[in-house]
Amino acid sequence: MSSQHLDLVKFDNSNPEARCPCVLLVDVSGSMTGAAIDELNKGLVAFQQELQHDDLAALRVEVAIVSFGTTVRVEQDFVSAHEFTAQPLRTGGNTPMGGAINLVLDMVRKRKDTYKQLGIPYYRPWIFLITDGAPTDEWRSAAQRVQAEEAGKTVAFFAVGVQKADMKVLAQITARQPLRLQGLNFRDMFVWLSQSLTSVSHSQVGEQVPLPAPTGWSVIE
Amino acid sequence: MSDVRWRCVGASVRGVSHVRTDTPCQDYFAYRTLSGGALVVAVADGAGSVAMAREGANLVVEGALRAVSELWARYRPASRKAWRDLVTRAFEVARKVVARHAARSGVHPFDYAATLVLAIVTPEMVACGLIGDCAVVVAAQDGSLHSLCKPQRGAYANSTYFATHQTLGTRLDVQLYEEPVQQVALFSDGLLSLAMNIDQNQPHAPFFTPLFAFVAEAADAAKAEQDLTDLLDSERVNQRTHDDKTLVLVTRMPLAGAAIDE
Repeated sequence: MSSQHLDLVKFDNSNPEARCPCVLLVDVSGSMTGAAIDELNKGLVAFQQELQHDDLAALRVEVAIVSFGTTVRVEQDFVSAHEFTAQPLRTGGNTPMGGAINLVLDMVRKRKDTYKQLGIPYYRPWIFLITDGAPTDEWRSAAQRVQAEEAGKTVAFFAVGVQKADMKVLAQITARQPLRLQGLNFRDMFVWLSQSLTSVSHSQVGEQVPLPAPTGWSVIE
Repeated sequence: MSDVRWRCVGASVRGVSHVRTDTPCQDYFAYRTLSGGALVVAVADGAGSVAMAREGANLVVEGALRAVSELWARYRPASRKAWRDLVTRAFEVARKVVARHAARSGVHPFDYAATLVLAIVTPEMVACGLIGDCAVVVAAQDGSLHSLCKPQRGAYANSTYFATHQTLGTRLDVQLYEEPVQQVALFSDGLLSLAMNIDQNQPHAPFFTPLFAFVAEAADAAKAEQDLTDLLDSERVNQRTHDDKTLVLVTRMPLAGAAIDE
């Protein structure tokens, strides 16, 4: 029986898994205190669960979290989604968004250098900004960097405004249409984000992945 | 040597990510026998992002095979340059076929984006060409395995180059393996990480050795195709790759006079 040979076929294990980095850039300024941060933290747990629900996404997606409030803080450096555990974020302070964006762009660049050194293939990194206010520091130079990186297709930068967020500023930061969160529906937003990252992590050769429409959690203004 | 014959077993299976989104299989393969104991095989992978991916893969494969058959009927390449020209010509025709088809349909050739690998296997040698991240692996007469062209990857994990509309000059990789081969495998990128170390362009022997033993013994063509399809659609393959996957196995047939049951 020639087909018996097929049971003996063994697969190569030496190729590094492609990585799909995603940084959450989260506003934890004082105004997020209360229901907003509570819902956001619940959303993070949903994000973790959804990513870990899919084998390939759990392996390929890498999550990092940077918060900005009292300071700009790396809450979570890049970690494989299957090793990611959502920790509750705490609020306080102002909105140093410009500094936070600069830090994240630096982190992403460094991560890509590591991938290149190790010969790890990677997808375009995603940066996902969530804010309920307006920057309290210098942000225009950071905005220019974001625009340049988007134009060079070296990152995909998404911005979501919560409640009274300054959507005009967000529109100047990202080349994409900023979205306004419906109420405090962070859960559906994070489910959408994990589904989108899952689609990307399943994609292949030259694919531009059609993302699910951000319906149910966002309003385009 | 003109009485050499080749057995070909191929299968193309839709990836689980395409099953999930109800997208058709965008890989395509075909082969033709040529006079003088030769064979031409081609595999293409339509880009997941474009509307006519499946059609694009079909067009480049059929265009390239037709070009080789027609040229082969007129002459046999007698030099390295002539071999390179023959392979290059096949890729040029494939691209023109896409361009004509696109013009008639009023769409941009990009909408047919597909990668293409092609191998002309003769009793004495193999000539192959590649644009994109498909691959061709041969087993020499001593059983050693060689990947003839390095699969091409873009800057990102999900990017490559396409035979349908990009400049051949910079991307087309033509290679000649100037020794007789025992077996040949052509496959699409869905199997790439399972079949070889991509970075070092090194075939994984525990992958190919059983497959080549399988095709060497596969006397019943229909059953062999089904068995290969079952392997490509098995749980253990689908756990490792979510993309469409195509594998064509070619083996040199024993000469009739040497067969035991003859």
